[in-house]
Amino acid sequence: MNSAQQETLPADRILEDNQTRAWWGAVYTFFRRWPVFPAFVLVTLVFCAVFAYQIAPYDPDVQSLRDRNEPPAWFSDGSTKYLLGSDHVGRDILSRVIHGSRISLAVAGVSLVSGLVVGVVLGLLAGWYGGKTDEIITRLVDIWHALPFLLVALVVVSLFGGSLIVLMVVLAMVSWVGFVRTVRAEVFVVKNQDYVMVSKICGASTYHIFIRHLIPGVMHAILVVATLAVGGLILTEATLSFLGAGIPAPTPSWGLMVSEGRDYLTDAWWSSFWPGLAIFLTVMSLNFIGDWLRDYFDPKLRQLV
Amino acid sequence: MKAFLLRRLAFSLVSLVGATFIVFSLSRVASDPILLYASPEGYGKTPEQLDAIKKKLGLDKPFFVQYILWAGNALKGDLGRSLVGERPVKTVIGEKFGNTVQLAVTGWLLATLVGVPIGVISAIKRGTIWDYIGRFVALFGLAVPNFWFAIVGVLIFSVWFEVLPSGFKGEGFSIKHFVMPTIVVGTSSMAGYLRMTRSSVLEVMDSEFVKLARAKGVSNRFVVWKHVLRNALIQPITISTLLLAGLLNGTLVAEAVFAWPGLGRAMLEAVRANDFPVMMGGVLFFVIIYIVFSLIADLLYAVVDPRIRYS
Repeated sequence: MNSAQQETLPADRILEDNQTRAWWGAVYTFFRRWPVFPAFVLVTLVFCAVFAYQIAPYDPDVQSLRDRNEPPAWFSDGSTKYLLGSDHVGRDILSRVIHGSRISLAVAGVSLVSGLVVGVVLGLLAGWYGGKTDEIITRLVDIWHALPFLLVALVVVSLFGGSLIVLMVVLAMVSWVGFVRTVRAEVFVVKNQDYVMVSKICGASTYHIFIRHLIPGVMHAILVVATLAVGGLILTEATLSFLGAGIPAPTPSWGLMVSEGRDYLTDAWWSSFWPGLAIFLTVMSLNFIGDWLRDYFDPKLRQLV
Repeated sequence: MKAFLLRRLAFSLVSLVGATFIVFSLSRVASDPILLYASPEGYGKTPEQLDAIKKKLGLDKPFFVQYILWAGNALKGDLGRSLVGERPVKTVIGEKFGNTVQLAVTGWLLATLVGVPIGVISAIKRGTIWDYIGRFVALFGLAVPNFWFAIVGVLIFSVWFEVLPSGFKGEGFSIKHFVMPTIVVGTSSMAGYLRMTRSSVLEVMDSEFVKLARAKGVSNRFVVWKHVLRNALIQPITISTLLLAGLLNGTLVAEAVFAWPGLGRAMLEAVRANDFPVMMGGVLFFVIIYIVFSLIADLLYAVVDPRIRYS
């Protein structure tokens, strides 16, 4: 029956059909090829973080006890005053989620960069010098892996008190390990390349080789590890805040918001739902882009991952 | 093999000493350690009394000596006493650990029994709808914050539909109590496991011997079962012990949300109460678990895969 219908289709109709398909095909290929949705999420996030004060409808810390646990706008009893609803002390959730992106990005960004610098330097040293240096650095990484991180982070926060700086240091303590392994493995490959050998024979200084050859050679690996690490850092920051070991209230941190809303789950589920969704979308987008970057730089892996 | 074993054991020891030393030094850098050991009621103590406690705990000795004393006591099984209730830390850990093991094991079963098969199917049916489902599950599991996942679960299944209990109630405890905590504990490991299995299977499917088998005309089913899976599952199997170690200290969040009376919750309570000896005992306990399990993983690797010969 299907084929009979196709036979009776007029020629121009078939042509039109093909054209539409080609158009859809192009869109489909474009979406498959470039991580459009994750990129959109991240651009929105960065935009929110930068312009939080301009775009947030309310001050994230101002309470309005008359408007406690107001539902989101599309509910029958909701109002457009609070688009995503309000929390248990009447703070606008949308504004708090927008401001929360600042905390998430600041903490993840700073801890990532500091972890990156330490990790990359150690990885370069271990890979380039090998031998004893490598042994010591590898042992250190092993020791670090044995630490129950979440618990140690809680202990550190309880010893030093919860603050932005402590949180950043704690997270930097996690992020450096991932860089060491990857950079070390990459350096082992790069340092045996002919151009590095030649450079060495020509009398280039170690400094020159590091700056000119090794670092550019491992850059793509660093970028991939960094993108994948940010997601993990945001997740860890949120977990610590949820457990009460993050930045103290009332700073709008996503993890803390989920935790605060938890007690009002039956009356106002939205106050813990939205911040959690924000964490989820952010981390998922970052992971997706990390995977995409890895495939982009290493097509050999494309089929494997 | 013997040389490898000795070397490996030596490394384990280094990790153990290093990890505990790091945590121990943190406690000494933060503030005057006497404040960590003198119980909260001790605020009214006179300087003389504090000095006496200091002497008793050996806090007047140099830093390294203190560490060695602590490590020596830990070796003898003495982890000190909890500041809350004055009970030995060993007892506190001992009585809570069983509950954590239960949760970690069910989570581990979920991760293994769901993650590995989906990973295999996703790889074998690469590019089909099954593969997309598998990859989506992996992406979801690695990105979802487990505390939020737990809360949304409670909202849907306990508050709205009232089919599952939202916490550990002691009385009327049933298998239902395990459902949500298990899913929360197991999801992210399941996703990681799925990804690893998938890439491992894909890698083997791409290897020469599989291509040869296919070229010889061996049936697809035979190729998959005899050639691909046998080789591809080596890594996931050996990693499973490490996964269990990770889960044992990864139940913290689930225990907090579901009021599960396990070690993770005990640790959280200790952190809130500034009960330093319990925190330290917990850290030591988890470090040992990790080190033992990673040693087992390495040995298992050599046993399962005859190609690995440590030298």
